[in-house]
Amino acid sequence: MLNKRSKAEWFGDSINVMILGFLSLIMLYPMLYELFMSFSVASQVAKHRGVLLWPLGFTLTPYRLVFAEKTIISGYRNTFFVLSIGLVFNITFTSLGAYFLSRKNVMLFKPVMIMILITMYFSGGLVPTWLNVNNLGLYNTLWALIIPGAINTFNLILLRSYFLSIPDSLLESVFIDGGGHFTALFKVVIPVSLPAMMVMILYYGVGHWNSWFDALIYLRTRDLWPLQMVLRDILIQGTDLDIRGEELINYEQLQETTKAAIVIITTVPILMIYPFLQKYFIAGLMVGSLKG
Amino acid sequence: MNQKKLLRVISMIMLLVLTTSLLLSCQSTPTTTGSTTGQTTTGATTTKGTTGATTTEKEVFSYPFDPPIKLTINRDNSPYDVSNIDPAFHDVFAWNVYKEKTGVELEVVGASSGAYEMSESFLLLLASGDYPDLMQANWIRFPGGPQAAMDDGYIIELTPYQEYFPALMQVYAEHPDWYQMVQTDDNKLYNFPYLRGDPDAHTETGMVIRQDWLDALNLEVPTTIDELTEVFRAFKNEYGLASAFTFEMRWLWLEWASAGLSSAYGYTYPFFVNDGEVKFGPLEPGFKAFMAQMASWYEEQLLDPDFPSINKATVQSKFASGEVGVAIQQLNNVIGCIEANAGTDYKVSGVPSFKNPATGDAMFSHYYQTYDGSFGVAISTKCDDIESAARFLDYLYTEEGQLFSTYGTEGVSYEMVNGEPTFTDYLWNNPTGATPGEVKGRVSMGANYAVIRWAFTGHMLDYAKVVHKEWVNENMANHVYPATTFTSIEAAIVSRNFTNIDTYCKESIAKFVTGQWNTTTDYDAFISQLESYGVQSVLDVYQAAYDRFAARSR
Amino acid sequence: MAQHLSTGYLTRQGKLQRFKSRLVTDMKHNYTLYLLVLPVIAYYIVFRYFPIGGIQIAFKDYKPALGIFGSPWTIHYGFGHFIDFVTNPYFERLLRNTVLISFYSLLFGFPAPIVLAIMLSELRGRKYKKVVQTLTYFPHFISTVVVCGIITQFALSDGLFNQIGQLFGAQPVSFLQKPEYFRTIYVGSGIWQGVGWSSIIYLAAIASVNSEVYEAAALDGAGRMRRIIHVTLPHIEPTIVLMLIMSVGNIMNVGSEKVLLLYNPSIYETADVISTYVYRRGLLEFNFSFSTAVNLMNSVINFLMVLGANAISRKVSETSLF
Repeated sequence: MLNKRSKAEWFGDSINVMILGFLSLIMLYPMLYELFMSFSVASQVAKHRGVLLWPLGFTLTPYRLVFAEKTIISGYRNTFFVLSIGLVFNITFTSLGAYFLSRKNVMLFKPVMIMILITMYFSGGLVPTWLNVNNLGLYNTLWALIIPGAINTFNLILLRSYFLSIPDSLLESVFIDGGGHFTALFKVVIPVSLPAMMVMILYYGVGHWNSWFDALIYLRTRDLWPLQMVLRDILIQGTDLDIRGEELINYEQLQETTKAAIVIITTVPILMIYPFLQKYFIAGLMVGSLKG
Repeated sequence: MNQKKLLRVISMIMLLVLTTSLLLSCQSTPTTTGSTTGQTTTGATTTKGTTGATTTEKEVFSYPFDPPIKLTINRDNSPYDVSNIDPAFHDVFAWNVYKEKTGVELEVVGASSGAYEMSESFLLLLASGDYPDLMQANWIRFPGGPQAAMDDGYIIELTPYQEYFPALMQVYAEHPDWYQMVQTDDNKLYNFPYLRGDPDAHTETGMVIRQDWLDALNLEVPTTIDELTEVFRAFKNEYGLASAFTFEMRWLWLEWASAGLSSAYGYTYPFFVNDGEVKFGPLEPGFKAFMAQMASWYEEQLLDPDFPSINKATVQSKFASGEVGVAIQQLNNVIGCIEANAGTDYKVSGVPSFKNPATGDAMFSHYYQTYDGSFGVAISTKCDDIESAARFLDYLYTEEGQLFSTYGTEGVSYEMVNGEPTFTDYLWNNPTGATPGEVKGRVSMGANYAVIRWAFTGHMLDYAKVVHKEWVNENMANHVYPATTFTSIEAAIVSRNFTNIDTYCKESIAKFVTGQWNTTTDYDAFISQLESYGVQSVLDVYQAAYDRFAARSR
Repeated sequence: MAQHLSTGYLTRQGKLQRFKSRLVTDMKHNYTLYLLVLPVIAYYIVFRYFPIGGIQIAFKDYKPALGIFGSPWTIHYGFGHFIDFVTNPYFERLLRNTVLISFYSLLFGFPAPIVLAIMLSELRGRKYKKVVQTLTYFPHFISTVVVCGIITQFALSDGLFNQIGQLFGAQPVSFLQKPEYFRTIYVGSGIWQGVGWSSIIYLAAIASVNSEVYEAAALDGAGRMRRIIHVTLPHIEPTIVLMLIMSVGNIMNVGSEKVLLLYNPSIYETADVISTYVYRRGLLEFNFSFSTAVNLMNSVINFLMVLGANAISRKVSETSLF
């Protein structure tokens, strides 16, 4: 009886393992494909039919073409600016808000909370938001990508849940020592919430890294474009690359391998910090479950 | 020497004579152009004073501005950026020369606009209220037309400032048909236009075919649709192609680019004129037959199945590499194909517009109008020195400016031979090894700006000339729907109805061609749908606008 | 009790007075706290409430030169743009496409992370589990632009999808040119990108199941499936319901970003959604008021959907957002 059941369990387990293995392959393969493609020789790509399992030949031409695009370099620069300064704003503002909302016995708690929650369901929409940003003089500045998005209400509520879980006794000791709320927040609450802070950095950071639509509507100068806007221009809009002469014969394929190279070099930074980030997923998970 | 060239020479000489006579008549005070005294007394600040003082004699303006001034314009990249250009060209690089000759430096603010559609970033720039001095866009396509752009306070009306752009007015005086095109229905001027002065420049796109393959298969350049189909089949079978024919799908509705082909059915998209009557292509009987033909090519895989999604570079690559034997391409891309295959047997021919068997003539071909609004530069309401802006833009319409914008720098890229500008060896055999097209791109202003274009690169090369001359179809000029403007009520009708109609037609054309719809069963529903979208009201608007256009002063 | 009675006797004036004095005390006591939150409140007013005030242009014919307040009210008592949209010949199609894409995303995209989470939690090998998790979370970090770029490449008639298809003898198809494939591509890529990441919240919920409960179930002779159905699922039900309510609230919100990156005129029939149409009419035709009106309509419908879903779930499962 016992034996029989474990046999069934074993069978189920192996099916499970296989399905998940197949799934992992599907998750991985597109990136592998791009990696192989980016090192492939265009003329061989032209003749190739079927699934790509390794690079077709080996060349660095696509990477040479990518780094010849000045906008990619300036795109990196702008993205890093927005990312670093943006995170400072995000973390500061979100912490301030979350700290206030996690305090008890504050009279205006309720009105402030309601004011914040309403914005989760109502927003001005594209055009009024745009006009507002323009009226504030942020149009065509990188600040337009930083300040309007300083607080994500969902993240604010998440962080508040985490702050609520900090024992009051920790804060009492600060107040007894004569410290105020500033001291409490910056000396105690933030340091003990390090995992939650990392989650915030993760959420906001990924948002900054991946966003392009704000840049599309707020930035008119190409020099200010973040990386994703540059990518959109090349990958989706199909802006022509500077290719001529004999390479023209395989232009189509060269364009494809170059696009693959662009995909790779813009995904590499994430790949590099990914293992570091991953341990905070668990922390994020904790923050998330506290909310429920 | 052909007739057209002769005509051009004559018109250039006439222009020269007229311009000089005009200049002389204006020159009441004897001032040498370009002299230091002239320079110090002219320019923005001084002449401003003269406009107020009506009694004093007019100062004669001369380039360059001294001290130099700066003007802002909506372009994405600085035109003076030479980092991608061979240092050998830096001194003669057209934009740098232009800056020196005018004494005006352009500062870019981003948000360049499209040739036919206002780009989203440009519309956002307009919404921001923070305009540059000069705004380059297709003002005809501004919602409500150029009149609305002036009424809403984006750009200024130029008519009252005519004295600041004498060269352009002189050009209009010599070309009343151009003058008719560049004004609103109320005879107002609103921008410095991009004009295709060279009659050859009207046709830049057409069908090309692999002549070496035709020769090998003992075939002729097709003149009927049936012959074309046979050629497709022969290419596909003999050369083992996936498909024989490719082009970008957008050319089924843009710039009359595929009109040479659909000419066989007396159809083109969207509007055309027949004896003063405006027609909408899809409502014409030929539409159905053309769609059926395209669909059968598509089904037989004679037409590239990827044609809806590919761009011009891909088309070029396919035609250059022999993946297809027939393509519809712009001349520059044809040149690219030929140059990429230099030293091989690769040979191409242009395919002339197909004749409509019913009428016996070919009505259409690809056609760029002399003026279609594209690349025009207007002066914004935020410009505080209208005179300088106008004078600066006027430069390229002067005799000197026209020569410069077309031929580059005298003594370097061109010389006057018997009164006619002639390109030198600097262009034909440049020491850097650059092709004539590349050299011309460096030393002259080219397109995408407020200039009159005369000599086109594509027409200078022998192997391109033979392709191009097949595409030119004199009939097209009689059938083109000109660049009209709408009243605000008309604009509302067009915006509401034609946006839907246009989207629907583009989708439907794609569906008919790719076999999702069948012309025999779905055509009637298509037509009744168009009627329910108000196609007649749109057609009426287009007719009214055309009638007003025809009645404009010339 | 006594206190309750005494407040009953207080006059209105007195109540206000007391409230004021309490507020003053509170302000004095907590002033650093209020000082701290001031930037946050300012942020919400300036960046969230100002735009909400700007919604009035939905009822006007907004002209940038005239400003929000100076622009005239539009026809039909300010409802011209709403009427324009509803009577638009494309209205039906836009609504259908928007709702269908949402519906399919919900139908297939919502259960997927739950299934994945359960499968992951059933895995025995910890290392293998870690690897699978690492790989499934990863696509979440790839930007939409890159994902759409990859899709565009793969969907070509000689792209990867067709190369795989040809192994099974399928005819090459240009997938992004055929309206019938768009929803599959959109929903499928959405799942590909999001399934791992979304499963985290369910994994967390499953992790909190007391292992004794499982053991008890095992002792009772419950098989794997029964254990999942009778122990795991009930335990994570509140999480599922909460997530479902939030998803329903987005039914009209097929974002323009991804569609804008993927569509072209030949597949408008299934790909054109409200937000993309609004984007084209609004920004590309300079019709800001129209665009705002449609956005407003969307928000209201979304909000009603959330309220509805919330009410239903409160009745059925005693779980609700508010």
